[in-house]
Amino acid sequence: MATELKKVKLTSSEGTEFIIDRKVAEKSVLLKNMLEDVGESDMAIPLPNVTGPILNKVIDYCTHHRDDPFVSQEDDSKKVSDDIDDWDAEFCKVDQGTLFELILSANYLDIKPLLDLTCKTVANMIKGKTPDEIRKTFNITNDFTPEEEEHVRKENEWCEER
Amino acid sequence: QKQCVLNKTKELLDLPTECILKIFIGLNIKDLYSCLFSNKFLHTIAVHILWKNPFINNPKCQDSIILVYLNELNKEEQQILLPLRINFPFIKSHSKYAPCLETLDLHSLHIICLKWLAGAGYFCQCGELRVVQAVVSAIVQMIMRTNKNLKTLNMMAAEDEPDCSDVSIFISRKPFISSLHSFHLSLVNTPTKKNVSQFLRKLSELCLDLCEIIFDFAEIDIDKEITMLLIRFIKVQKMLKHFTLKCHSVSAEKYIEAMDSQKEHLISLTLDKIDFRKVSADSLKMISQCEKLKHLTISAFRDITDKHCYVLSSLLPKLETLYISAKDNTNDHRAVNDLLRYTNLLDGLARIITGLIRDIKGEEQERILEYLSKYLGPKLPNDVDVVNDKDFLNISNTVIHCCHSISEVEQIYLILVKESYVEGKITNAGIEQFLNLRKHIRFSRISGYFRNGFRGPLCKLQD
Repeated sequence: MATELKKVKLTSSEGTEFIIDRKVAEKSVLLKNMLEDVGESDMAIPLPNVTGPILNKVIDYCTHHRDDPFVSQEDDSKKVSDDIDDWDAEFCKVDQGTLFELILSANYLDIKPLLDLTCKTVANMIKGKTPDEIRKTFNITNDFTPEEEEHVRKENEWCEER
Repeated sequence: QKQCVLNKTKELLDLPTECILKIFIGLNIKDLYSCLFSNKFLHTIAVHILWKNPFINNPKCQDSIILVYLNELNKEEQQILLPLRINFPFIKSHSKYAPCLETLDLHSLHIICLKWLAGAGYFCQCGELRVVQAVVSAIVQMIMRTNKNLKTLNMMAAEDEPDCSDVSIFISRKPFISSLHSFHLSLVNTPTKKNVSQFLRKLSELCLDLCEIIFDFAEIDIDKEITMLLIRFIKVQKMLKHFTLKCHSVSAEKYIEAMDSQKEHLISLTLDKIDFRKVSADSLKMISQCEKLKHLTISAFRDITDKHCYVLSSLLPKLETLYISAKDNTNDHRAVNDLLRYTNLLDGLARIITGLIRDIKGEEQERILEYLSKYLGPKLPNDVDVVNDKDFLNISNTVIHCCHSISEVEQIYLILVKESYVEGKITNAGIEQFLNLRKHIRFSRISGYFRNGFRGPLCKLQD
């Protein structure tokens, strides 16, 4: 009925308050369930795992996609295509730290399309790279000994590109 | 568990496993292979995806799969192989691979074992199947002991193949068999072995939560007892969503009628090699009663009649995808004519699938092309037999071009000819070119269809 107009208050980890439309908040399954359980309330919902700047980005995303149809977790018949539209691509042009924070928040708040988008963006950063390039890109140390590496090579011979 | 200081910049390795898993699912085999070597933590996650189904068609290097699995046998399972003088050097491995398996394909496992043993010089005569059987059996026992993720079981039963020699092991592992999502049974010849019928009888008591069933009976007639068992098996399923039947004998009708029990659940149905002289139009009414049916494939059929088409046509408004193709290498003009008549019914669909009908030659091919060009537009090529990169690009280009003119087309399926790809007639470069080409297309989706999974750049096509 009037859910469209209802507002929801959220507080980020450092205590910044955000007031958003309930419909936008409901893109998050976590918040949706919370709002349904609690019913009407003026109390702000604390989100201790999400910082202000990240929450701001998440709200941007949910506002832009507020009218998208809901995709259920179990909908296995259709998987998302690998195309990212322009707005989403622009949205993901952030530094790595922010991108990983977005993944963590999307996971915590349970916003499947945002999680899909951010994970796909990271996947695109891995595509076509050698192990060394992957390590450089993500600042990872190589914890394999040459001997272990040789084992891995032997055991996984079948998936080497023909 | 990685807990990091609140203000530290987050890195890839700070993400929980489930998030990295989600990222990795978007990668193809080649990229996952690179991840295997990048770091131990990422390695473990990549292994979990790569080893879900290692039995995909890759003719090379499959020995490593057998060696890896043999390495995971315990003392007891090794005992099976010791008398056969198979010795396995113990390697201390960083990963356990068998617990990742999701699809156990007994037939492929059998073939790989056979090749490995032959390569290792274990037998000089074919017919020496006892050893193969023992290796398969030891590996299956090990998988049953260590794996809790198995979702799909593929088995092929034939007189001369030992695949099913120890199906009893599946029955003795009740939790495994009752948590399966998908069951794929191929029967190659009759009569079926006694232990197989026993297995199938047990199956309808233990395995009730399948999402998908595939029965592949190709060219054989199934005896009455087995048919009865399998029909009961379909009927006991609580919520069957996907059913594939490849069957040219009269029993096809019985299986289609058995769909009555699943009419509230069925989402996709594939009928392959159906001889419509043996399946009455009335029995197809069962299909039109399936409320949720969205995807229908009727392939390699013969002698479909007006009556059949009429019954099926009532389904069309509900469908999202329809794929049809007549029997390949057929000389049956009727089937082709029927196909043409049937494609007329496509007009009502929101999405169509365009199969490149490559197995039909000569006059029939021309007629189909004529029809398709009327339907799709004026520029279809005369030759749709995809044999090399140039042809492939040409055809995909043209089909895409033609479909431009039809506003309703949201989705196109291109049928890639597996053999041409495997034999290298269509190369990765050709497919890359095609992928570049599709960037300019307005369709929301294009999918490729490649029976045994995508490799290399084809993974990009897979959705």
